[in-house]
Amino acid sequence: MFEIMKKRLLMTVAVMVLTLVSYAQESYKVDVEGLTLEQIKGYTQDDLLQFSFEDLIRLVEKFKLSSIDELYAMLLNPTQSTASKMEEDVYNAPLATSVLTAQQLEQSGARSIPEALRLMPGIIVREKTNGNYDVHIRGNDYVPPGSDITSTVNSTTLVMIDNRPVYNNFLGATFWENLPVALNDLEKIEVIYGPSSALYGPNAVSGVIHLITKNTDAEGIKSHFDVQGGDHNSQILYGDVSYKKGNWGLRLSANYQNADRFQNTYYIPQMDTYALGDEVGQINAGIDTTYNASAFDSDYWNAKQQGAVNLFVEYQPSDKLGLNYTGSYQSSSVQTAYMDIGSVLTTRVSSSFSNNFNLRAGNFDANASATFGRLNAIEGLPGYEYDYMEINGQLAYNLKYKNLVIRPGLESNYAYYSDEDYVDVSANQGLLNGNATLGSLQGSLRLDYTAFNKLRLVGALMQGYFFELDKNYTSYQFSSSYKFGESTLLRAVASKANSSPFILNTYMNRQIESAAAMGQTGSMTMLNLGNKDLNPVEMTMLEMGLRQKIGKKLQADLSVFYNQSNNYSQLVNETNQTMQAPGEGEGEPTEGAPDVMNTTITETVQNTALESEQIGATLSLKYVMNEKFNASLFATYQQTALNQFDASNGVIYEGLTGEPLNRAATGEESGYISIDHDYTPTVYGGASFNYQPNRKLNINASLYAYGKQESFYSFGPDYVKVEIDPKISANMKVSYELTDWMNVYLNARNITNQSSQEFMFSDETGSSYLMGLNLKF
Amino acid sequence: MKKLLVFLMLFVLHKQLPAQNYKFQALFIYNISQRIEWPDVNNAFVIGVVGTKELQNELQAIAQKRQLFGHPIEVREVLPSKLDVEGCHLVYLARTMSSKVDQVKSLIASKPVLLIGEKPGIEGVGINFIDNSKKIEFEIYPQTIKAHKLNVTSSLMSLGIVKN
Repeated sequence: MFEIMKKRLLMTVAVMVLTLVSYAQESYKVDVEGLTLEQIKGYTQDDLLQFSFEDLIRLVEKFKLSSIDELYAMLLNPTQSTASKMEEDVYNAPLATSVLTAQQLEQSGARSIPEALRLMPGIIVREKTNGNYDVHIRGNDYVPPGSDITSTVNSTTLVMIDNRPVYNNFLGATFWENLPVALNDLEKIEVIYGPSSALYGPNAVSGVIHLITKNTDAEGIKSHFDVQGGDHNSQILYGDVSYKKGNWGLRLSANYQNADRFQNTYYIPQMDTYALGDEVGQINAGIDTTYNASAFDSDYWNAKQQGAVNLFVEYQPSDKLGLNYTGSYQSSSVQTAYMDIGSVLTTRVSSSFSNNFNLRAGNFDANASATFGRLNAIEGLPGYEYDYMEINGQLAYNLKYKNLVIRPGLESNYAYYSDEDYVDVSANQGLLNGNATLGSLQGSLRLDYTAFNKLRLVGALMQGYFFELDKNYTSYQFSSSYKFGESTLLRAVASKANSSPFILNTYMNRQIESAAAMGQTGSMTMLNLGNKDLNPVEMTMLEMGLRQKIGKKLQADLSVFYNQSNNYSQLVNETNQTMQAPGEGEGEPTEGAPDVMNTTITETVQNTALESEQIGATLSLKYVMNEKFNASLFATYQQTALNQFDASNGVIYEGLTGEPLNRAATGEESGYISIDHDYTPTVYGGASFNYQPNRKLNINASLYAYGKQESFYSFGPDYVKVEIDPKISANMKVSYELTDWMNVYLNARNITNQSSQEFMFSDETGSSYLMGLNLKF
Repeated sequence: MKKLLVFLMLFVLHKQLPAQNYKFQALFIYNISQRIEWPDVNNAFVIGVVGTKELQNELQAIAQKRQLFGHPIEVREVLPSKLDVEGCHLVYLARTMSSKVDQVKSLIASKPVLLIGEKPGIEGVGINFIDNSKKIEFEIYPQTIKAHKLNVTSSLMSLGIVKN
């Protein structure tokens, strides 16, 4: 009896255990079809061992198909957050927007961030020397024409790394070699086109280039190394190690790059001749007596040497709270075209330490950054070396109410520049002769309303105040879009933005004393002065856009834009001569002695009447045939006219119009003319193709092309026509995966060796061939 | 520069990263093994892997968590130079080692061993993985499997592409 009870009890327990086991197994039954790609990616091997074979097969199929869909989305419609300060895909972005992802960057073989920008529509990228670039969004470059080479720097595009503005406040330019991050650090490059100060503060005039760095994405330790080397002494090394555990993520990255120039000669525009490297120091010293000839870089083959380390720290305890810190140190030395001091190419040396915090807490987001650096813009020329500190802060709140997002924000920028450690301040040898600060505070409000899931209205307004200059400014950006069905989106933008005042054009204070002209006694004083009353460059834009999905595989994006820019500035000189009786002020006059002539030439930065007017269109097509092949094609056509251009210099007038300036016939104002600004190419664009026949081999080809560019240059009374010939550069990277963690590649840049100059007076840039090894663990 | 390259090479030789496909293939192999009947599994169920460390690591991770037919799973690296498949119940031949198929076939002839390949068109295997962009499929060669005194369950036949 007892035995029977025992057996029954055992059987009952066994049935219960079996039921529980089967229940447990049942409870793991999931609806495979309902799983998202992210959920599947999150499954561990333990989780997957619980699946029945049938479910596992379905899950793998779902995973692979979702991966293809993800690929389509990544290539055709990646997400971005620069255009509206919230994450949404490019198709829905209210502004003209383009995105390059980390995978595209790696596949392309681009060696640097500015080179990678050639893969994006609407960007003009000229290579000055090997690896050093001039970058402009849509154009308005080298305005006013005929001015010094420093006017070619882009001081109207806001470049940011994770919300930290990185342009140099001395001149407003972005020196690309000063950026501590390299392509291996980037998750995405997002570009928005057109005036956007209402979203980002001053300097987002022609657009914003936002470099977004990678987050650690997988638990544990991961590392990535990429080493490539090739001709022209090219060496590019990237390395990073990341560690993620729970809410914390750490990533340490380093990059190093070296490249030699394509030639060892230098063009000297003022002599219209090429000089050898070891002659240039003397030539420059002959043209500018303050130049230290012996300081001219003896290693004149070297175009670029730069290195940086970055530490990224992430803390994300919840979806609502996240903190990111980046600490970076960089050091660089490049030979590039910056200013005409005889040779147009000079060496720029810099080092900086930067800190960047990003905080997201509930509906708040905030950014704070501080950069401390030292830069010598022209090695050997006193006055161009300085220490600087730049501090930026932003705070915004996102209030969502039904279909309305209200975003009030505050932003502040502060810049401190000092050359006192590098020049004889008492002799007024420097450009600043002491220190100078600029500060601004901006308040903004952005409203984003969507009606019926079709119509979207966005308005952003910013009111700013520049402290030292006691000057207010206003910028706005209004955009609207309307979706016709699922495949067509029409959009329009009206916006206005301005650049910041910069240290140099506000505070320049240089005095150069020299002897009087031959046969005269007295003094000659040259004063270069900034101007606190200067109005910063301002652009107003109207834009219409159309985005069209043509089937699942093709997407077209057309933007037609019209913009007007003004408040350009240049040095205007005024000569004062005072006659002094012989010996005046120095005791008894000496009879019979010649008169003493004291001459003061004052050059002050002043706004000009010049206005630029641009009309153009950019078309971008992206096509994904399948997971093996995808392509993109983009081109911009534009015309720029410069109105009220001051050509009152007869030589320039004649050079531009072909006719002599007849003041008597046409009056004093006859020097103001309208000209076509052909320095921005009429047509420019590119294409890229990626073919991955199997999981091991990847072939990427890209093209970048621009049409003819014409402008002029002047020194003294001379008018020199500048022409840049049309050029097509073709690039190719072929990589082969030896194992899952190692691939080797060949990287050919400007494969057909089109060696014409891309930037006036600088090097003839040719091809580079590199071999590389890429390791991921 | 050269030192750095050498250092990196040495470093990577000690590191492996499992690929997504091998992660799934290992799970497939575990599931396939459950649906084939072996006449004699007395001690450990031995899987020999030729030519893929990644898959071997994935299978080893499964072996630490699971058993087959009530016995522990032992995953063995089979060197292509020796092809020591003695005692294996299952031999996996990586795509890059497909040229060794005839040698392996002769070593396991008429023994109860399941040979798995991963190359389209390979002959003499019992199971062959076809990995395409949309799914991981596998071909089943029931006659070859039977020739090795193994029995394929009907549930497995319904999940793969039945050949010969």
